[in-house]
Amino acid sequence: MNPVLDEIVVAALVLAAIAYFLIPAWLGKTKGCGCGCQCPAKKPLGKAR
Amino acid sequence: MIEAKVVESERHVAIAGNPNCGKSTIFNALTGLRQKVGNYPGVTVERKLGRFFGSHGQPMTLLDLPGSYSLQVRSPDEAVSRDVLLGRRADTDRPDVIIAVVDASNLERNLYLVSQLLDLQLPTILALNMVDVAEQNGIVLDLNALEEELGVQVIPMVASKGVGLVELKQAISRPTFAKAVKRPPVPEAIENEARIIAAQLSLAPEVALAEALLLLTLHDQALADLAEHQGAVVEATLAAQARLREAGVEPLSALVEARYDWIHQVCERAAHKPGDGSSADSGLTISDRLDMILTHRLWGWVAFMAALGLMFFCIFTVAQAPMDWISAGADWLGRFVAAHLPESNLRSLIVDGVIPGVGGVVIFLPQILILFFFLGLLEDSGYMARAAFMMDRVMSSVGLHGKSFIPLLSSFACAIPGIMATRTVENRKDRLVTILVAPLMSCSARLPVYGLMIAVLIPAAPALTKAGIMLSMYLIGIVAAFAMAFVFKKTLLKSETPMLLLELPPYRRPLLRSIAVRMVERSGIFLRRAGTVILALSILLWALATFPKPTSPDATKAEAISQSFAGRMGHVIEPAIRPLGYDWKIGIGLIGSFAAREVFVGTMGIVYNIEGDVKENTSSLSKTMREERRPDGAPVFTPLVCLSLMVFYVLAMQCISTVAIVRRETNSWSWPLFQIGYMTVLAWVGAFAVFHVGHLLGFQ
Repeated sequence: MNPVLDEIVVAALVLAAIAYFLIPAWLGKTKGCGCGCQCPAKKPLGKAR
Repeated sequence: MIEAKVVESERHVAIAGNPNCGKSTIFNALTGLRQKVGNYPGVTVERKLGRFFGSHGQPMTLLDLPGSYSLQVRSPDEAVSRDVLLGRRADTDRPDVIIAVVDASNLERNLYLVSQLLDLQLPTILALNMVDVAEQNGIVLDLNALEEELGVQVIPMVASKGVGLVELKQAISRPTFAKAVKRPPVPEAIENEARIIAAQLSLAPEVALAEALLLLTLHDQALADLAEHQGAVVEATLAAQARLREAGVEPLSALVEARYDWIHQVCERAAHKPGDGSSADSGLTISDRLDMILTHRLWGWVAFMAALGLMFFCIFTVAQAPMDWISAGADWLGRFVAAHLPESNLRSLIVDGVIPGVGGVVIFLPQILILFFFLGLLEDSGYMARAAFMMDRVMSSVGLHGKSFIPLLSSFACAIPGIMATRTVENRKDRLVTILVAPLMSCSARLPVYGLMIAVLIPAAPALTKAGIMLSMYLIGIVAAFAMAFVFKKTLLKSETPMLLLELPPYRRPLLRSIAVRMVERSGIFLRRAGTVILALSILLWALATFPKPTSPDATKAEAISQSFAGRMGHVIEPAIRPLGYDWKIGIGLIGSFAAREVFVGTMGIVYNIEGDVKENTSSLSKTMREERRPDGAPVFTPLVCLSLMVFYVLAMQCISTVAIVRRETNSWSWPLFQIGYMTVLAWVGAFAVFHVGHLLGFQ
């Protein structure tokens, strides 16, 4: 395998993995907890109580 | 009966009833997907609002009220139901019609709320649900008698099968309604006092009387806390209570007794058990007989431990074959890629990073499926409520409410739904304590870590021994959760423990189809997670464990990983973990799994695949780890190190999703940060104690 191509492909994959975590945080979105709950728009245990 | 025309505009219908009587089933059947789920402003109580069309196409809104046993409220959920029904909430219209859902197999208890709903004098339809279960229990229902006694239309239903839905829809769609005019009798002295208070309330007369009756049952502090009424109303209520007590009438108990007398009278006429001539609620059902054993002080615990023991035994025996297949598949894939890709970074990324990282986690899918199969079985059969009842004795000894056990039980699957389930805990401090200790219960993400460490510790031991070790890890989690709850309740979050009110639903034969659906759902979530979060983490960990590459081309693999970013991080934390018996490579695993516990397994796979010679085709990860030696030739993974690592993972937070959910639920960063802090300290101390006490006792 061409060493330059190899480095480019691996660097792209590593950057994609970093982006996977960083871009949603940067856009202010959450990934969801992954537990399968529906997570409806519920209010937290806040001062209103 | 008085015929009342209900407002011509869109009709507001509310569904009220006890928890678990089928309200939501009826709500879903009527509204389908036209639902909006949100929150009542200011409280963490779910608001389910839907739209549907009546028999003649007239649009209606349907509100599924939170389940309540009574309008004398005990929780925020019940307070919302009461406030909506009394028209106290500015954000929700007072209903035009109430569908009172009643569990026909448990008529006596369900009628208590109905007796209070009738006080409201609103058009009411009684949805007599689960008549099939009542029939199975040998209860003969006399619907005409019930209609006569209650003064409202009664519709027999089996909501889960859609029986009675058309009739219910027709009943709601009627242009006119019989207003509920029959009120359950109230002692005369109380009725007179209630009328005096009602006169001072600026509400419609019928609501005012219902409100006044509720006010009379409140104690001094609850009255003082009332925001809805002016001081004059509170003073009038206190004066009325004083007059009643002088006359020897305790308002709350007298009202409750009067309602139950009325309920007995209704049940005598409307629900019979043939043969014994008694009303429906006497005599022992099969559920009662089972409960005599399963909630027994001794046998209940034996059954509880046997159920958990069987679950873990099956996790090891039944799951073994499919786990071997997945392992063989991953090995084959690694060999295949290694044979077909030339030596390159990309090949190393796939063979040393992605396949061991993702494969190492996916291999535990069969065990997780079995865990969810058993959890589904226990939940659907009705046993979970008994487990909560059994645990309440223990819970109350540490100052926690029995309701806190349900979130803790859910945390066996995942701490996130567990923490969300704490919304049912009414006391704010109790809820915080439950949130703080919930991640100590062993979730399914810990299963891969336990599985790997047990395989390293005792590879050839019988399944029963392995199950015993795993069960003890779960027990350590439970004991730690209770101990910490006790500490928090005595220090940071002091409060009184309210009494437990828990419904024990009748035992039901679990529907395998519904359990299978949940298992498929869970495996989908698990695999999605393996294909996204864990794949991304595996790539990052591989990069951290591979770069920077050693400058000398003669460097061994051990030297290469030691010089990598991951190796350096492992070396940095080594002084902190050396007292636990861990080396810097285990340190890489601990750092790598900070975001998600199960990544520990993948990280170990990456570390040892990169670090070891090319042996992907000869040994499994656990074998490699067993053979791992320190510079002095001593094994790294001694039995005490394995146990200490397992205890560390029982007690450590190591889950970024849980941190995020605690942040959201507590609306503050201080609680999740405190939680990470205390759990990490606890994990370190626990692991330290296992390692050193074990040494002192002569173990290796």
